[in-house]
Amino acid sequence: MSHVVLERLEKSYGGVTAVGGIDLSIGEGEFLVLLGPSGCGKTTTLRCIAGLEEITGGRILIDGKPVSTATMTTPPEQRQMGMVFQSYAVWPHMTVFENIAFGLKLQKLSKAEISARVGRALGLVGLGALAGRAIHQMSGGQQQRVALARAVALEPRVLLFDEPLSNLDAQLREYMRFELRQLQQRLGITAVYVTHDQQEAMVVADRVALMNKGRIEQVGTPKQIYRHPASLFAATFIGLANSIAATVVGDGVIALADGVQFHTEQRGFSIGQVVRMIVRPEHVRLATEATLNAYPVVVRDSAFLGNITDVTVMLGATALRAQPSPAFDFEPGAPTTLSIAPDAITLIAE
Amino acid sequence: MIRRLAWLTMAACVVFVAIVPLVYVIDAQFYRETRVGLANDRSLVAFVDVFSSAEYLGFLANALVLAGVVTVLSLLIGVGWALVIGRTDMRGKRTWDTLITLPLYLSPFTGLMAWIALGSEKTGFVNVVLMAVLRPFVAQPQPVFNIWSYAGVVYVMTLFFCPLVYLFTVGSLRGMNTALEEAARTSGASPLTVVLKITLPLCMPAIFASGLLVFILGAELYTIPGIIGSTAGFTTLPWRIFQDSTAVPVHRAHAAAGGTMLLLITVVGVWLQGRLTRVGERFVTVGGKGFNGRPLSLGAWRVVAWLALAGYVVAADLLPFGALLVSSVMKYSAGVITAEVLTSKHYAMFFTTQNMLGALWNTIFLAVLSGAVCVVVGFLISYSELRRPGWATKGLAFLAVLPVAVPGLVYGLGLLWTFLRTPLYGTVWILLLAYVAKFLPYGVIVSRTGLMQLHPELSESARMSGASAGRTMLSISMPLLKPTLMAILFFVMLMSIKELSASVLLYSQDSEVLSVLTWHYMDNGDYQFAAAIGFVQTLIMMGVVFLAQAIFRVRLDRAFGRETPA
Repeated sequence: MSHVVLERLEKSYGGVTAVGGIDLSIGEGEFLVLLGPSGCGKTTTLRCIAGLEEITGGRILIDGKPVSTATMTTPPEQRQMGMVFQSYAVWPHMTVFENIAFGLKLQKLSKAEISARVGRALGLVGLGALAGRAIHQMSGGQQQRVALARAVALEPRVLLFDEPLSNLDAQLREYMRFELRQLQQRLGITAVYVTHDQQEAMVVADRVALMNKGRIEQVGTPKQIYRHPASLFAATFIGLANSIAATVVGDGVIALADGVQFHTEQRGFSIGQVVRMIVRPEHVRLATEATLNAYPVVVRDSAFLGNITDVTVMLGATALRAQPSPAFDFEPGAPTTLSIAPDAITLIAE
Repeated sequence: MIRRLAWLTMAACVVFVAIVPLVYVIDAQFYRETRVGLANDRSLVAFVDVFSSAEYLGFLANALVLAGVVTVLSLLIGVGWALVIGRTDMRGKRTWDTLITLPLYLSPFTGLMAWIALGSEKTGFVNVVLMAVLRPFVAQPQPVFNIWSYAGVVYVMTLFFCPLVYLFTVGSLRGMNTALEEAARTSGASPLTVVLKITLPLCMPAIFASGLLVFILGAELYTIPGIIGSTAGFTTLPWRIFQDSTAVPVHRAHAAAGGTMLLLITVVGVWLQGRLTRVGERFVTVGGKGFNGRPLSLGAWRVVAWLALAGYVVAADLLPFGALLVSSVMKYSAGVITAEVLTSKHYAMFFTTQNMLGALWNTIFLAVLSGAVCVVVGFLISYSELRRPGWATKGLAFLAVLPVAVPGLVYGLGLLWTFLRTPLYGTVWILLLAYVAKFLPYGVIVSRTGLMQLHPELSESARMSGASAGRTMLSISMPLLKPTLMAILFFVMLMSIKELSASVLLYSQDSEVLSVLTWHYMDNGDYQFAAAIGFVQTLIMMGVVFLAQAIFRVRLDRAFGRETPA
């Protein structure tokens, strides 16, 4: 178990900045997810931690010892990290056993020790009986498990994952999320995981570092980021959100453009300040008897999705999306009422 | 540190072997000539003479016209074969494919020797047979063939160059998305219209590129036009260069200037060809994989196509092989084979004479060694270029590929003059240098193509498993590229065995090779002994082809990277 610290980490190619000076600390045994849209610098960050990229500024420390600076890079093979790649990168000219044993042989372990550790690793990923298989005889999902076993067998200080599930089909992907998480918990290895899939991130992560344009937008548990997004980007990238322009008109009171007022729990803004009001669709309550933050609205669209109904209502000229559950029918054009609890409203300064 | 030193040593060697001889050739034309070489003072006489006299420009024109004619004929035949094999319901395509491409791995010069036995006016086997057939019908039958003519040169060169056009075009056809053709069919075009309006235009970049390649090879070839032309009475530029550099009194500055002229043509040609290939890739990447659309039905034309293909295979594979064998067991050239002209003395002599066995050994030794060097050095150069991109690694790769545009003749001259006063001169090592310089580009280009198809994560995952960069190269990249590296090895072996242009200039008493011996005995008029050597040489090459394709399952045609001449 190790902890990883990024200090003002910078990586640029020629004149293009891929990672623009980020700070991040990953604790022992923690599962940290680097989440963000493509091109946000998350994979570059991971590759810098792995030592596959030389950094152009800042430092990377593992257990307090610098492994990357602008002038020095410990080569990847000396970092004792395991990595699972997007393309799996299992070697097609070796059997399953040889793939997993490759790194162990380089450590000059005894034959008995190697086969014991390969066996254990294969058991962990549920491929115990397939050690002798050739790679081309395996499905994508099985190759993925081989890649995982190969990384785990080295008993690395840190496990790195580069979008490991993105080549699997949807069903397997969902199943593997839980498996990965359980495996990491059981082994207690520090893990850094890159994905662009926010649901995947929320399933596996202890903490999520949300990245955008080479910078970290927000770090926190999935719950923290979902409940209290620090930026419009964070609010819209993780989960659905209504985002409405508003002005602060009093202590804990905001007004929309047409004067409709909402009470909020969030304070600390000055009167007259322009803000964004963020509300998750499941917090927009319809047909309620509540009186606080409650207004009459008209249903515009309604789609039945099974567990929920996806409804868009018009509050004057403002469209708001609601997802009431259990699902029940709303007729377009029908009047109803809306209410939003004050603690469900997040305000973000414009 | 050690790795960097090793790389620098390798880079220095490549530059020295591949570039210095060229500089030497270009520089040598600006000296005053003496009867045996160059004087110490500069002079523009040779340069002006070669680049402006009607005589030399005439030689140039001869070479270009010859190359042009050969190119047009090779295109017609090669594209025809490609369409038949790539797009019709012709049966036995794999066999035909092997037979059509076989001449690529054989020596055109051996082909010439065989066709001299077959197509000489009085004693050629084909003429004798045809005249016997015609005698009952024609009062005084004339010989049908005369290989000792301009047409004879064109014939033999076309025979051995059209497979290149076939290879390029059929490759392009195979990479083409057949939906493009099916879309034309559903738009109301007949199968023939589709071929003419869709298929062929889409193949144009490949066709042009291969045509240019044939043109370059035809323009720089001196062996076939030389042997025939000196009897039939015409001279091409490369042949004149050869004479200027070897016949006493030598005209070394003239040879150097002629070589430079040839070099200019081939460099421009290869550059154009590279551009075309890149255009071609833009065309082809629209593509799908394999031809799974419905093939064009030949109907009654199948018989015609079959006969034409069979005729080609007989003329390019079967007859030469047979003719070599037959004439190698004859005492002298005779149209009619009787017991009294038969002899095994050539083989007896070949296998008992010390310098013959020496040449056999040298040929095999040089082939294996140059193959191995080109694989290893070519791989290292492209590996460092791709994995550590920088001006030094890219520059080295560029320099190593440059000789692809240099005619063997020019290399021969350059190496000869560069190493004349060193102990290397007169040993097999100078031949090795020539082969490595000439064939290293294949090693670089083909292994680069292979490396680019390897996902970089395959190497990166080895690094993450604790392997150093060197260990990763040895345990991951090289084993994964094994088929490609094997293709390079066998291909360079074949090219080395048949190499003649540079070898003729560089050999000496102690460093003869089989191809040089065939040349030597042809030049002396001992065709039967030359045929015996040529037959042994051909057997070795067939053995290598068989070993590569049947035993090791290597796709040799892959080694003809699209931008590399044969």
